[in-house]
Amino acid sequence: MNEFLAEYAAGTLPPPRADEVRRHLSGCAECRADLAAWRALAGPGEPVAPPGPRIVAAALVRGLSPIPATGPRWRLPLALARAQLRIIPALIWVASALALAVGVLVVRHDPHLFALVTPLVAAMGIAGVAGTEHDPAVEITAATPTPPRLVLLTRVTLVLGFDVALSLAGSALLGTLGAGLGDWLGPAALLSALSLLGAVTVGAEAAAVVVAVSWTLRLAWSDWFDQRWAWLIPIRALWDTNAETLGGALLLAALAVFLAGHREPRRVRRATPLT
Amino acid sequence: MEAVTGAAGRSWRWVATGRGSAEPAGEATDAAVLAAIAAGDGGALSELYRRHARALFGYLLRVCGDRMTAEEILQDTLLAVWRGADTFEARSSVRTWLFAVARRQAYQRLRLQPAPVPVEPAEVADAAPGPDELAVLASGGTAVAGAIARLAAHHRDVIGLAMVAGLPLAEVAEIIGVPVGTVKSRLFHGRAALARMLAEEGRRA
Ligand SMILES: [Zn+2]
Repeated sequence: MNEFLAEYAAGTLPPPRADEVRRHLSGCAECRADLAAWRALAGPGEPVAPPGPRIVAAALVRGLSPIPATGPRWRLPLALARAQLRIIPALIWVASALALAVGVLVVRHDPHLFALVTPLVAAMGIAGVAGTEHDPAVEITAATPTPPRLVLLTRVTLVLGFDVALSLAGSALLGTLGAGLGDWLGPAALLSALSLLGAVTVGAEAAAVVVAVSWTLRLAWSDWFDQRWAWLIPIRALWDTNAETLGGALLLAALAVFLAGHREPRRVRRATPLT
Repeated sequence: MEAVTGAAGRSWRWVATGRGSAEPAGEATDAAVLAAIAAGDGGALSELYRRHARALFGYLLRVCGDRMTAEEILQDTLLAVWRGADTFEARSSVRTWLFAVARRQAYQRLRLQPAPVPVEPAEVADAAPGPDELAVLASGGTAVAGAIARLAAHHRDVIGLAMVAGLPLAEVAEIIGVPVGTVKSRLFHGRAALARMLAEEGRRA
């Protein structure tokens, strides 16, 4: 019988056997002494209370700071990208891919119209990852030693890279890879930069509205505007793919990244309480 | 418990907002919580910790002997779970996997040596301590804690898993990677060594 006493003391003996042992114990002093010795193994006195939930927050802070304790420096961007990949909402990837897929289907008879879809998708994706309102890990990110600018750059690079890769695939599918690229590259860069600046300064929702309004204006633009307000023509040229557009986009993006280093964590709704 | 909607629209049902709240019916399984951790949900890690904190910490405290080191290893464990949640393959239960992770962290940080395999006799009977020695052990007290700290690592290991964390012996065997018989014999040998140690101290005092 005494081969079951350890499990009986630990409380892990299955019920039928445990009942058997219990009955035996009432009549066997030797086994009762044996059981007392097993119970002493579980530890003297009160069980020690485990640390509170703060230990989880501490582990997460370490988990989101990608700086490896040991290992080569070149792994830092990789680790940072990996950490961010895990906390970017899946919705952003799915929505981008879906919008581009629908775009390809809708415009397949006039491939040049694809240029109307891609900038919007890229810019909306940027608004989604650059605003902090929807960041489930914003409190943790705010507490990591990783600079917020670096985090923002990583997230934007990931989403933009994803969208550009998909757009290239879309252009290739439509057979306009060479000619079609110029149609959307400049507008996509400018609109994304605008979105980034908006998300950093006034928030993701406001940035999405700015993007939608700008793009609607761009689509609604016709010769009628040019004839009435000739001074607007240079602005219209901004929405083509040229050096000024790409340079302007870079400047806006740089300004956004600069501001991101100074921003206060925005009001956070729906964040995960850790404690 | 309070329903909290996540950024991606998923519902974090397990985010506890009050202390000591009762388990709701239909609570998410450990595997579902671990899947949420793999998807980057920090609240799910809190929940997994809440479920296993007592057993996990009890085990680590038994293996390393002092609270501060146990807390450090516990934090290492949570970090390893956060980073490695996507490597869980459901070949074992989540709890078995969790304790295996904790054990690996403890062995790494404390630089413990694995058990010397050939010295492990299958026979249990010859390890039985005498009634006097068992009586000293059963009387408990702070001397027991001190003596346990001086046991061999592979003895503290099984005592921590089976007697403190309260895991079934089959699960302990899976975590350590040895047959159940070996777990049993380590438990008996560990207890015998402890009883002799205490009796020896009693004679010297
Ligand atoms: Zn008996």
